[in-house]
Amino acid sequence: MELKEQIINDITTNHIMLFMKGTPEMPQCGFSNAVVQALNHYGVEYKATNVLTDPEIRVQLSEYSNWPTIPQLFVNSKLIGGADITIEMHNNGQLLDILDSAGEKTE
Amino acid sequence: MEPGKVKELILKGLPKAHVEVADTTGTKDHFSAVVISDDFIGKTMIQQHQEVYKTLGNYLTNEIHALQLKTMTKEQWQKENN
Repeated sequence: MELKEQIINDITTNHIMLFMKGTPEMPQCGFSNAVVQALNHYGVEYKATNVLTDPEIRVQLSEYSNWPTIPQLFVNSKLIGGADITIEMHNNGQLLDILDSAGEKTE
Repeated sequence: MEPGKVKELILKGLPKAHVEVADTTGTKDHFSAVVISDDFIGKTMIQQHQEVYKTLGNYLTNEIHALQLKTMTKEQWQKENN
């Protein structure tokens, strides 16, 4: 599968998909870490791709999503945002509703 | 890049906005910005951020490594500050 197809496939087949710097266990950037912490707070399952493993991931992803920075959080194939929007929605309760709609909340 | 230059670029793309930019690390490549504009009325947060990103073009991710962004309409700003 080509890289771009792989990216789109990840976004469309995972209810919650996170593109980040580093891994959930070891984030390499404070903004990626903030989104990981928010997702962990709700105990949801998600797939994460480390964009640092191949610089081309970021190029192809940003082209697809029209979003220049990392992290990028997708729920039900839709871009939720980067760290700022995710944290703002975490604080005002909207993130819970969105994650609920992904049908992946474990609690 | 100087924070003033970031502000200038945002204002060039969004002339009616009120813009505040700060250098968050003192290294001139990590910034936080608050952008208040009625251009954002009726737009989702994603769209609002995309509009600001657009004003920064290729500077973003090259000279600007990180941009913490908060966007709001004038009404939202007034609500938050009352």
